[in-house]
Amino acid sequence: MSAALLYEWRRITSIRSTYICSLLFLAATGAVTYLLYQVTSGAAGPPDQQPQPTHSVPLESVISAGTNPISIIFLTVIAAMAFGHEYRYGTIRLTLSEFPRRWKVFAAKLLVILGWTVVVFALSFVVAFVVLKVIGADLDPTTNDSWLSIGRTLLGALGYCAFAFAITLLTRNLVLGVVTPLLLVAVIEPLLKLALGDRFTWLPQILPMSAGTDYMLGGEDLLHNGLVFLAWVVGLLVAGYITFERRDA
Amino acid sequence: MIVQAEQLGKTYGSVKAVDNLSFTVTPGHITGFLGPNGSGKSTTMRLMLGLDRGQGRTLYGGQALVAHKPVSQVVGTHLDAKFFHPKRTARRHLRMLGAEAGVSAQRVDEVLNLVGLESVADKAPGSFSLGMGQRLGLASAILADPQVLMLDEPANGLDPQSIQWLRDFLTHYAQRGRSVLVSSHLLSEMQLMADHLVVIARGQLIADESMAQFVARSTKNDVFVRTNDPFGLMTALQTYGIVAAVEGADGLTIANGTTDQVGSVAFHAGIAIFELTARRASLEDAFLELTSDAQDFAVGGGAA
Repeated sequence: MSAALLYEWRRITSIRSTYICSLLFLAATGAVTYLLYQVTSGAAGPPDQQPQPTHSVPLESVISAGTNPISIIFLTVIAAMAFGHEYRYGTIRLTLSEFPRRWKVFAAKLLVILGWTVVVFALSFVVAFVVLKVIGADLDPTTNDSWLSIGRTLLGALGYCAFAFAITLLTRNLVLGVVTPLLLVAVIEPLLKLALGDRFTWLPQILPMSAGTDYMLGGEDLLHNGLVFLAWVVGLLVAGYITFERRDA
Repeated sequence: MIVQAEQLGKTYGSVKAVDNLSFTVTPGHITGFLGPNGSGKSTTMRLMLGLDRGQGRTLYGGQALVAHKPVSQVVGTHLDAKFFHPKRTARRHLRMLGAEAGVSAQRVDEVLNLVGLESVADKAPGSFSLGMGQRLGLASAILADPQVLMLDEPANGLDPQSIQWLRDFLTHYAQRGRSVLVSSHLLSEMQLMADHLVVIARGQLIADESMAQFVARSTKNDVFVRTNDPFGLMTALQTYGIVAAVEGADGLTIANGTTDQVGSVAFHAGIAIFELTARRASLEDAFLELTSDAQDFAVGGGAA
């Protein structure tokens, strides 16, 4: 397993797009943090309504900077590339020639992607803090709820990446892996909710990305949303693994 | 290490791409893998590596590939000249592939040097020519110094010097007691390279024998003799059961005799011989004859 992990580590770190997407995620996080500060502090409003130079920002604002769909898409690109590049360039056949036990390839890719996501996500907090320091904002004192919020957001981001990872594996298509979660969260699920209105009230409760987003943003019914999102992610990963195991490379 | 493919099979819908195919690749030899387009060569190789799901099994030294560790020291593969990320440098590509067997950076440099890619080692292979892609593919196959090499059309796109280099390299590799299975459409090249052949058509085995045995099956192996008395010699040969046919003004073609026999008969009959030649069929002749009715994608007839 260690060889498969090293292989995947070298794969992910030997292409420029991994670094570009990570940097874009960090840059987007910084930009969104700055914009959120401007909006919450009223700095963008008329001069007579501007607050004092030092403004206190809740930690949740910093956290949400990294979890908006615009930022997180860069992380899902990295996740989708794990299998997307392999199938696009045919290197999956080289990989599986060396690792005929496919579960090792699947596990190594998932673990490295999730590990990379954790590291980049942690870095995004640093970026957000630095941005706030530079613009002279203070953070509210951290509480237990803040740490729970961080954990929840991180789990949500990991789920988001695993979702993209699984879609790419199922479709063997990098673009679909990246676009599908984004379309679901921004277009399909909102439209579906709108179209359903008061009918089938149970259906909006089990939509994957709505549940995931609500879970990350700490909305109501956290446990339900968390479990729905988890079920979708695990279900797609299992389906992806089964097809990966059974289909020709 | 001996490689035994046993009852391999693969079906796409109602089409049997590989049908109950069994053969052996022995150490110390270059085994040529031949077949018309669409005959199932690449599918067979993928089945042997576990890349495609199908029937049968392939044993490497008596064990399935999954039982070996590290796998890349057992079998090195080169299936396509374009199997690389276009932006990952050649050196990093090999470093990645070397992870499974713990290949050192020094070995990567050595292999890059061996295939003549050291000057472009840090360049992205997206701009490589087909020949350079073949070299990179070969480098990845030999990286962990495997016991078995499996190469699919490795000579495509190579210039004559590179083909000669490849031939010498594979010959040397096999002489070290390694097993080499190589498919190619370049039959003249294969004739120089391989000493054993596995020939398939429509997914089925046509031949699994030495190059000499395969070529000997061609009807184009004959003896040509030029003489001052072709009809006299023909009659003399007939008394020994040797059948001759007239070729040209003063020549005879003998399908079932040797030069020694023809020479002796002519000597005893007092007939002068101007030329006596054993004509050997080429691999191409034998291949085309034996697979003539198994061309799934044969070219059309003459111009309309």
